[in-house]
Amino acid sequence: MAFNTIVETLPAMGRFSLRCKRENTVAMSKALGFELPSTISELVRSGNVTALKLGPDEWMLTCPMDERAKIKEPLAAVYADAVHSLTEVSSREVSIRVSGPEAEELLSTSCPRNLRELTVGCGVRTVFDSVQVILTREEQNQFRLDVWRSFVPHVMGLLSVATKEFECGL
Amino acid sequence: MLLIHCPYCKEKLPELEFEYAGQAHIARPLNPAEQSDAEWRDYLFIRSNVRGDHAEQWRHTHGCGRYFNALRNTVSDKFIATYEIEQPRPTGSEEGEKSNEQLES
Amino acid sequence: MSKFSAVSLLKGALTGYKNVEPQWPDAELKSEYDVIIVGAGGHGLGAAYYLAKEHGITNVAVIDKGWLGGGNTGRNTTIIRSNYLYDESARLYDHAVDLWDGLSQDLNYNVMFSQRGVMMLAHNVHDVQSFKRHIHANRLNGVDNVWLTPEQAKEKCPPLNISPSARYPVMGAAFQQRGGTARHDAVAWGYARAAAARGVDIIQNCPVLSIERGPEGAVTGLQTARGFVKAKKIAVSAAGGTSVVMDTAGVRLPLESYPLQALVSEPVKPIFPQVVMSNTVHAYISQSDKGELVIGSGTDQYVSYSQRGGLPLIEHTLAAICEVFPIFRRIRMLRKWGGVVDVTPDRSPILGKTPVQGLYLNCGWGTGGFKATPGSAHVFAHTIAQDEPHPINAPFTLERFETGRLIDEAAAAAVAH
Repeated sequence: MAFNTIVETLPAMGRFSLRCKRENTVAMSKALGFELPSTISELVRSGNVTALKLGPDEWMLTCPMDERAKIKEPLAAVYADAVHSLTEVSSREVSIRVSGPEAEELLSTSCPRNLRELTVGCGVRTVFDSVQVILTREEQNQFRLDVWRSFVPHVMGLLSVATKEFECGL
Repeated sequence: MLLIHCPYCKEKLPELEFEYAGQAHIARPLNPAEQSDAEWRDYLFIRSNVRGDHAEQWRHTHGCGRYFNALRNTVSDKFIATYEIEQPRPTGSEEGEKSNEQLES
Repeated sequence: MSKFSAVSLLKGALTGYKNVEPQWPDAELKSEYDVIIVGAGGHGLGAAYYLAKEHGITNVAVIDKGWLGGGNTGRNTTIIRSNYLYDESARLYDHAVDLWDGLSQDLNYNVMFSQRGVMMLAHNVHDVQSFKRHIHANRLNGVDNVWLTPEQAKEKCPPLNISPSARYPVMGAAFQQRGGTARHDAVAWGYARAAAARGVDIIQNCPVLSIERGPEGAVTGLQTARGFVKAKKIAVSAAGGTSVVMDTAGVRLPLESYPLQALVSEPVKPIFPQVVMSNTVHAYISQSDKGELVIGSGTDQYVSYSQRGGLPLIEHTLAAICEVFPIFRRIRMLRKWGGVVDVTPDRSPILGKTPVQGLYLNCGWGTGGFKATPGSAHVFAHTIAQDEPHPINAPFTLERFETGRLIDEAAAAAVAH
């Protein structure tokens, strides 16, 4: 059976965890130069920077490694007036991309969510065989898993076992 | 597997993303120093353990991270409602409520 | 009732067991008893037996809403051990092991007690330190328990995977040789038969509606589905249903009832000589005399009376079993079931008197009540008969949640057990 789904790790990227109260989101958006998403699972992209809303007061911001100042500096400038918590977590996570026609099915082997309900361009925090991950559907057949570094071998191991099973037609 | 509606994510999601966090609406005493030993026992240890509709806390740990409350029937495990943590307990089914009255009287 | 002996068994075998008489009569509910025990599980039936045998109290009824032994007595994984950390627990559980040894003869009923040994696996440095502490504490209390290296553990239990690269590596094990298993149904049946022979009434399918109290607060009797029954003393031994029954007497308890699941595989030839438990991954396994692998898991995370429990836990348990015993990866599971276990905040039972005169309580055994059956029943009968706890169960009061003198096995084992 032909199986054309690819699992690959992505190069390092800048990642920030942003927590702030609702009344300060306007100031945050203004400083960043784009509107922070307002519903959970919504992903907003502005140039090279993305913002994903994970919880009622929590966002994950990403950018290329050498452009981290674009997030850090404008938010630091408004800190006095709009209190927030911005924590750099770039080295905490590794991203894994799963792309191909069977991507959804491959991820379903270890993710309890109904992935059909995850729309393109949205991302959620969920579990992948007891490992907490951020799962983003970048395209219909392309997903990204952000996994804490120490769990990467476990997740990659499961994905490679599942890939082998699919290849064998199990 | 239980499917639980998170009132913050507004989605029905698998139990594996959630953690149970005990009976809901137990208020910590405002003046801890004035509590008797019996009152501390009630606050810390005594639980309704109701056979019927049970108000309880859950946390969407592997999701939005928020604690919220749920009303669930402990015989059928069916969720009657989930609601944000500040909201009051909703009323449940007639049968479940009857056994609650039995416990609270 | 006829007595079982080698001759009677041989006779039965030769005549095809055609004329087996009922082992206990289906009793009619009388209007008054000296003692009524609520809950016809091993603990309740055992207490009735010891009341009759050791205290001469025979005007006793054991009432159950369902059938005899149909609750947690028939829903556990039949493991028996006494390797508990604290002095109080070690005395209580070891009292039970002492009584298990000889119970079949005492009851003239084979409970198939098998002291095949219980092995508890250590998977990390914390486990190693904690188990060694348990072993030292046990030996000071006269409870047998020894430390095994991974190789010694493998020698005793060949299917064990001791590869250092395993997901849950085995760094050693604590081993109690006096531990083992018994046939759970036979325990209930043996106690029921022996108690009935001494005059105890066993009333099945009779739900208790409420515990009634007189103007001075003492118990007066029980309201049941078959009407009111007078009783001087009422002893509640109702496991997961305890909170609901006790609430009718106005006693609120530090209990929460959780589903606890177990499952069995298809039967295979004898391959698994011991009971092996892993607290860290919360799975335990033994092989029954029928050849099935009996596997138990931890409690579900939420309070429930469903007697079911969720599949994620079963999956987790089986994943752990497959990891520790790769040989079982392709074995098929036959059936799974759930019990409702009543858990206390310190994971130790409540066994003694209550604030209500004439009302006695035996509950809170959590996930480990079966192993204690004879010991618990024995001291509970003493407590009921003397209106005074036996020295062994004296520390297991309800008051400890007010005084703060907990017996914190929860902290000692870091799991419900």
